[in-house]
Amino acid sequence: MKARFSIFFLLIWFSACEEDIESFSLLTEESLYVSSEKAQLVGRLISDNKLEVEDHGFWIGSDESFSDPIVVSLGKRTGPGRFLGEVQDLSPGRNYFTKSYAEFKGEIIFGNIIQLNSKNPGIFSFFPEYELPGKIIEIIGLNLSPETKVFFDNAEAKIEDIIYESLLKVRIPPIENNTSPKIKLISNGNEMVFGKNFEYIIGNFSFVGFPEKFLLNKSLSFTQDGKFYVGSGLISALDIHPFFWEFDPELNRWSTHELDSDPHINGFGINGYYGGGMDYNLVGDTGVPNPAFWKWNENIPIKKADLPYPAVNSIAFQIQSKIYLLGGSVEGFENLLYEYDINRDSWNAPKTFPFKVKNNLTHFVYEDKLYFISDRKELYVFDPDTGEREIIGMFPGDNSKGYGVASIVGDRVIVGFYEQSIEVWELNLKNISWKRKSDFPGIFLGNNLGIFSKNNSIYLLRSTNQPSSEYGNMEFWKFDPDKF
Amino acid sequence: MKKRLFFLLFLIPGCIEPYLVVAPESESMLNVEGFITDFPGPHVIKISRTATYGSVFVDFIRPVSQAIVAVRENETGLVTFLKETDQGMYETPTIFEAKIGNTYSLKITTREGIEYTSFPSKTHQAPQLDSMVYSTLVIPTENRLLPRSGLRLLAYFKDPSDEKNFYFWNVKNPIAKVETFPEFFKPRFSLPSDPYQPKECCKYCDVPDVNLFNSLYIADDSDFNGLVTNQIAGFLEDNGFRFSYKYQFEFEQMAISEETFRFLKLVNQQLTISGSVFDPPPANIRGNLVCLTHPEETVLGHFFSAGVSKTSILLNREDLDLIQIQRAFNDDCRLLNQPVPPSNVDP
Repeated sequence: MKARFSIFFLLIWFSACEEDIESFSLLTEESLYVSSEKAQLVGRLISDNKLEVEDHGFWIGSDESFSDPIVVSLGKRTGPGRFLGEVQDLSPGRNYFTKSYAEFKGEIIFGNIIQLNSKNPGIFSFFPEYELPGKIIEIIGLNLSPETKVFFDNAEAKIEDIIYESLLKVRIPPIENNTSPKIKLISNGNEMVFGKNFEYIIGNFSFVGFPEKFLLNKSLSFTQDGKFYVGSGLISALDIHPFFWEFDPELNRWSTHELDSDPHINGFGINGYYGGGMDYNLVGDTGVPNPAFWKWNENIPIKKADLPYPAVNSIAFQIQSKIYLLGGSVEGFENLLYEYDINRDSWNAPKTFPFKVKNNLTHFVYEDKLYFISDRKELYVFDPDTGEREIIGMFPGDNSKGYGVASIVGDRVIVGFYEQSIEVWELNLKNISWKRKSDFPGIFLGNNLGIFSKNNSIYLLRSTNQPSSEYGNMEFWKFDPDKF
Repeated sequence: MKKRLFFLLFLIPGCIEPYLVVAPESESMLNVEGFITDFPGPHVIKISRTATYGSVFVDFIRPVSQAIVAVRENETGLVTFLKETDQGMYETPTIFEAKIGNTYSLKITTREGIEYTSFPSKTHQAPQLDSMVYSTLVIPTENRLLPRSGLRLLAYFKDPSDEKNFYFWNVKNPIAKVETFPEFFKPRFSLPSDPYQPKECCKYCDVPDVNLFNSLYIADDSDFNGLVTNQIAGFLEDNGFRFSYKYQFEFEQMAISEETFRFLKLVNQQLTISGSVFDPPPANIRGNLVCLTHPEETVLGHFFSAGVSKTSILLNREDLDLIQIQRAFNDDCRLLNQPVPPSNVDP
């Protein structure tokens, strides 16, 4: 009996010796994120007990011995699981080592060591490439710290947001002197400059005004002796307007000249010469073609050799002493190129142009070559002497509705004013690069009646039938492409 | 003595206390689906929030809209932002492609400012897919006369011997080119004797097979390391209409990481639970995404990057040994938004 009791108590004694052994493992996992100065670290505490550690976190050092560690303390923790820590004091382009730690019953236990490589900051691109002051520009870079600074030349820009240390949203500072400043970033002591300059959108429109309120349309225009002429169109669906309006930019004044000849509805005009079109208008573009061709000489029209074909909605351009008439809207003549010799007052046999063309294509002449922008935005250069043509660029804007205009200012050309578009662009003809200019402030639902340049300014006459038009049916604007 | 026992019996039942079960309150969790490959995009990432347990009046699965979503190349720090094309659907730019050997993380910041990120996933080079072979597979059912059938896809390739490889096969952009018979159109409730009322259009259409169910086909090379092999890589079930004319899809062989393989294997196990005693128990599958704002939050899903070797397949009905009776659709094919058997069969 005594022996049985002894065994019983012994069993109780043994069972009383059982206790929970609080053990755990510590793991440093692959880091979530490492940039130039920031790292997101991951550790895991593995245990089958709900143990409590006094402190846990990460050590980060520049050497494996962790002689001078950065300690990321996450404090007390109860129970196993994954934990995250973040360090923001790294230097770019350096090697670091990290290990997780946990302080348990006064003893610090470490996990495995992981190597970190902090990254160098960099820049990729900015968008848009041209914008107004005060607007937002987005800069794409990498590993850009929150202390990053952005400069437009020397003007510091305000950073509105930094997303994932990569996307900067920057407010464009006011223009100082340069309208094409360099964009410079300074991040973590690294200075980075974009190779391509930013372009401020500049250009100033001023409303000049037109004396009449009627709606002129289907007219022609030309320049001569520094003056601008427009007219010989319609002022309603059937009402012919038998006048030329003359604008003298020196005097800033409009005057009229009555025309005795038949009208040239949808005709052409170029450097004092005009003609073609239709002599009266039925519905739409139907009518009787007017073959007359004139030279405007001291406000008197002088008749020249009749046109060799019905030039309605044709493109006219002059190179040296030759006037060219290209295409039009009359079937069978849409791809013909005729040449008029001013000295001989005669038309030559036509050449065939590779495709059909009419005056909805924006065109201009520069250095004895015709440039035009196709409806597919291709910028062509064409030599009418040799027939050679080449695509040398693409128009970056919206030309989907056609009927834009262009005007040469020195070695630049101002292109735009397309139907239902307010975009205005400048093409540098030396390096074929485009710049966006200030948007057209007038009624964008309008027709271009004529454009010409004088003293580095562009003059544009438009008509609109919009009832809400602030300026009536006729709008005459002056555009200074370099003013801001 | 008997009286004492009687009182004792009273005391024993008095010790029973009701046990209150406190079920944890269900929560809506972020769910991320999608991957990137070394082929040009767009690669699609779908982000949603799970519904809490209950009827649709309690909660429903909601797409996560207006989030900032980006993929970061960890070697360089280059971040590519994704564009939301539909609610909760985010696409990389078309020019984006993962680089072999580099690791990528998915970063998400929701409209509420909560930030999530995935663990980096390495892009492995996919072994060259030599060919994809298909054969008819018949699956017996309880009804002997109506077995299921379809095309079993086999991938032929040589497994590299110098590394451990994990494979995932995917059928991408399946399109059924359907042929219908608008010339035999009859309005509903027409009598068999009524004449046809032919429609002028349309007889042939391309119908995306968006609801093609395809379970996950994965493999590791433990059984065929370094060998030329073929592996079961997909099954396209014949629903009686899908293959009735032509069927095209892209077949992708992806090289995935061991972590991704483990995740997909567990998902596949859960998908193929049939209710037998040999099934694995239902379990929460840990993904590779974490919430940086609330580290304790559970995030579902696994983002990964993979190298791909792929081929385009065009199947013609004449080349297939189809078991199912192919049903005709006597109407304009543009009425179909998915290649499912037409419900009303013309007599």
